[in-house]
Amino acid sequence: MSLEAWAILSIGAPLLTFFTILLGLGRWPTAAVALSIITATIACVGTWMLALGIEAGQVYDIYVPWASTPDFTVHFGFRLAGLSTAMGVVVGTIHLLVQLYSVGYMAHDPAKARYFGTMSLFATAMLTVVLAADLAQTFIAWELVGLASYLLIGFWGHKPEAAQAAKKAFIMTRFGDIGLFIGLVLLLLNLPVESGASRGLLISSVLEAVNDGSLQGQLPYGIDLVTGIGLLLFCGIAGKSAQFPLHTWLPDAMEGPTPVSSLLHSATMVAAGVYLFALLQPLFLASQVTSTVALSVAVGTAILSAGVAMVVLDMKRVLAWSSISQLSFMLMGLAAGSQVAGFFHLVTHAGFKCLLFLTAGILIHLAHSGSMVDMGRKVGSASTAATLGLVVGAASLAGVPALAGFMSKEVILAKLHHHQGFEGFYALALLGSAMTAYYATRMVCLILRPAGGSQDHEDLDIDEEHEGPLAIMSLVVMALAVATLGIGWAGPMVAGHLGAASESVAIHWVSPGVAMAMVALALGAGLAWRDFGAEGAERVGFLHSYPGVEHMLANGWYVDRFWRWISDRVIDSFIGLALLIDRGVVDENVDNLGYGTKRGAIFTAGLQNGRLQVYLSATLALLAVGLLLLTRT
Amino acid sequence: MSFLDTHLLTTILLCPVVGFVALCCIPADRIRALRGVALLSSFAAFALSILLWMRFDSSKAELQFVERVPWLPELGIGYIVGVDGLSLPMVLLTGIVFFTGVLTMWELETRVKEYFAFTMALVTGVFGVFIAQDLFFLFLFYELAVLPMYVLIAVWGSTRREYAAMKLTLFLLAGSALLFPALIGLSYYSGVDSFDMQMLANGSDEGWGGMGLVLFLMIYVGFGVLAGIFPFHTWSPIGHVAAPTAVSMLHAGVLMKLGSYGVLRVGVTILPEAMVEWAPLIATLAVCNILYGAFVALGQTDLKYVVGYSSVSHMGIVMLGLATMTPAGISGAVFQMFAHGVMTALFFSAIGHIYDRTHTREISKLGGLFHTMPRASTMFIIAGLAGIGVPCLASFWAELLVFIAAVKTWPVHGVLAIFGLVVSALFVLRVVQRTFFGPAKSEWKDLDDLRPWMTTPRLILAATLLVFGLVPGLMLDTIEATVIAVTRALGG
Repeated sequence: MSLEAWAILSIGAPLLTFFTILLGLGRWPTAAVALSIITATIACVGTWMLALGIEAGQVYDIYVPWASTPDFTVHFGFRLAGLSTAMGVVVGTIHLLVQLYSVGYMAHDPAKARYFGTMSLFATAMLTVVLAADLAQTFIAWELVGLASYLLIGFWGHKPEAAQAAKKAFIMTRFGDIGLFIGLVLLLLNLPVESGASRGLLISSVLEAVNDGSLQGQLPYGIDLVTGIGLLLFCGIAGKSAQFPLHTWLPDAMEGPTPVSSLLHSATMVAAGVYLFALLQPLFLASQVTSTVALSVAVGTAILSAGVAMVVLDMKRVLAWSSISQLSFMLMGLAAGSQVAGFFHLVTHAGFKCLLFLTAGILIHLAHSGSMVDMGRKVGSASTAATLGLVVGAASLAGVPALAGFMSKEVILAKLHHHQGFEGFYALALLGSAMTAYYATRMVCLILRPAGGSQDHEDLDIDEEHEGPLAIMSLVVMALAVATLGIGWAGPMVAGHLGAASESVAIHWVSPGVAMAMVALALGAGLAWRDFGAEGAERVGFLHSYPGVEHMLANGWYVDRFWRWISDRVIDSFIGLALLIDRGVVDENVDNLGYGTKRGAIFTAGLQNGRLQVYLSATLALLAVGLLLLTRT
Repeated sequence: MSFLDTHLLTTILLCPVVGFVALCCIPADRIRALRGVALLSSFAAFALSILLWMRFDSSKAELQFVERVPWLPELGIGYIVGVDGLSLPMVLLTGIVFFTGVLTMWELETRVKEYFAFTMALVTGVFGVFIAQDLFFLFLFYELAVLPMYVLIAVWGSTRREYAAMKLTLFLLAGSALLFPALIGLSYYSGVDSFDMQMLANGSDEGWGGMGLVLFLMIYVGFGVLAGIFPFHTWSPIGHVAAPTAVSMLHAGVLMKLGSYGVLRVGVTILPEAMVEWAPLIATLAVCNILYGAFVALGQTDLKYVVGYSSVSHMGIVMLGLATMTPAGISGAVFQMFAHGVMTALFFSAIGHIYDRTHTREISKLGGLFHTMPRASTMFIIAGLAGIGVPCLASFWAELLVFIAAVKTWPVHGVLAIFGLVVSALFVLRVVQRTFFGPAKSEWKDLDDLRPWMTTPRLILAATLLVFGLVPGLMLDTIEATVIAVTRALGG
């Protein structure tokens, strides 16, 4: 089969599932689930075939016009290159694994057909983001990804928190998307076109224009065109990839079912922003301002969110804050100029974070609670799969050498280390690493070494009804754990696929960089062990002695409060003003005009009262006024 | 078929007329027969408008399916009908909303005969405006479309219906009071002494001068009232709220389009030079509509008010598209008229069912309706998603085109308007969250969802949004040739 056939199959198969379920298959949940799994498998195979089918360094552009106007054309098609197909594999594979896991996780949900349908819609949209040939097509799919995310976070919409979180996620990402949209429009209007050709945003021509420097100009207020576009596009990326200050939707998004958090809100969808950055990296790097802003935002977000993850008690929320922080690390690598570094971390993170979330799903299933304290008390190490997943995932996250997270993060750190003038960023990134090690260790200790030592977990109620689903979930988790152990060594392969030299991901084991990373790991993990793991530890964390700091972290640095203030105060006062104008000024005058006419009519009608003396006096009065006016002239 | 080929437009126009006559002949107590006639007549119009769409040759810019019958030659008035890329989408829209509107009101019990008869009269007027190519007939049909509204709201309406009906009628008649002299003025000052719009458009080469500016303003305000331009919009949400479901559908779905279509057809095509002069004002008021309408919608507590003000906001996008005077912008405006028509029809159709069952539209009293009415809720949510410009639904393309064109022609206006997208997302999602999500309230536990039969009209509307959203070329290709001709006159 040809490449485009595989591409069409990859995005078409899940779409077919979505429509089939929407149009009536939803009445037979088992069939809906079966179809979803089949199409997820097809999509996964398709993405692998695409990645294996293209040759390194080559780009296949296949597209047709989708919507054309005399002024510009939006294309639909595929741009198959190293980066896009590699990302396709990540999405296709994780989607299949999560769908399999969901068979167990959602086994008893009455609305599971709707769940599987929406997940399929997500797969189509996300793969379209990844494989798109035209940035307008990317934007369209990007918005659809946002829609799928909205529907999935709000999947349990009867819970007010879920409904609220879904809305918040949509609005906040939409806010960033405004920037993305304006940036794309400016790009469209300023991209040089050959005479006679229609305007368009084909990714290949955008990259070409950036690379040969023909994209130049000035925006109002003397802003450089490339800088302006880069910053606007970065707004969208910050929204989707949950970077400061648009990050506050992601922790709340954990109200969705856990597999959704795993697929969308850690492994793939939030990585869409990072992916877009990687795709358009030359555009961002072309401007010193844009890349510095991006790097600063990323470093700041990494520290900020890792700090919050150190004090939160809900496991999924810890993982959410950790995702924000890890996405920042990816952006650091990209903004520092290495596509491979950032993207490789995206791949490994997709693996180990997905693993951690699926593990969290099992723990929540068993403990009936999301709190790590409850998990430790009720489950502890009772589930082998969960224990394995937790340890492998957390060790990877913390950056234990040779594991996935270390291998990719080290590449990013090395990039920052060797970059002239980035010493400050490097130091902060190391601090972020230490904080990561702290919260990862804390998570493991809280769950596997609960207060009061190992309890008996005899009361763990796994009735027969739950045994089957749990077995599926455990199987997926164990498979993913094994894969995560190996994924760290895939660096050269990823680099080769992206057309970069394999040295770019090589780890120099004996170097100051690795030593520094080890120190950071030891400091973070050691401190966490002292606080939570060691015998007789107080299990409250050293931050407890600084109530001000702890309070600030627990409240997410008050960023969320700021947004709530915006939405409650600023927007509400706008609404108040608009309502005031509408009722008090516009409509009031309309009504007054109407009623005034009526009153006027009643008044003049009243004059026709048949009393001669009134008529006469009115006539005389008019006559007098008339004479007066005449005599004056 | 040859008769159809030459008289297709008149046949479409006759569908509601025949329906009206037949309804008048049937005794009022034979409700089934009355419904049958209404259904038949609306279905015929619907089917014929699809046929018209399929037979239309989109490569031509000029009028097609033209019929000319001289009527008062000494005054230059004749029955001239024809469609081009600007009016064809409107004819199709009217067909769709007419048919689905009749289906939506299937369960009406009070004064069925009169209700359908007035609907027929209204729809005759609407079809007439969209196909008329003679100013006199255009105005005649326009008045025919506007007046039945008063009765439909005052008799079958709800909340403050007499006030609303009166306000609406007075507003629209005030618009007509500006329009009538303007239309006569067009004929008088053009020098061609005719009401034939094509002759007027072609014969104005020597220029209208200052008179053109005055006439354009009168036309813009006169038609603009109906399109809900700020600050002449307040009649519209109040009218929506008071009107019965299908009348709201027709009102927001097609009646408001008469206004924007009138500005485009009469104002822009006959007086392009004046359009260029007035464009800054039009763009500014359009942005007011978009942002202000969205903020007012955000502050509403009644479902229908929210949708009513969202229409004010969305009609702003149409006017902004016209003000860009570029092919993309005007294509987007026409596309938006169509998409918004279908979308609001779906909105009101879904709200109609909810109000029918719960007898309230207060958002604070509703909640958790998704559990009891998944189908009706889904329909509302689809309309809502179209309203906030989610891709793959028709309105997305319309908004995309308008915004791109706006950033090019009016950068500041364009950027401000794009911010309106966030506000509209906010009010739609707020309503969805408070009405459909959240815990199921006990008082709404035992309500019926839409029955499959009653889902049909909503499905047609939703499917239309999706089809044009996935294949925007269907609409854009139809509009393109005409729009290029129009913008050439604008100097674009």
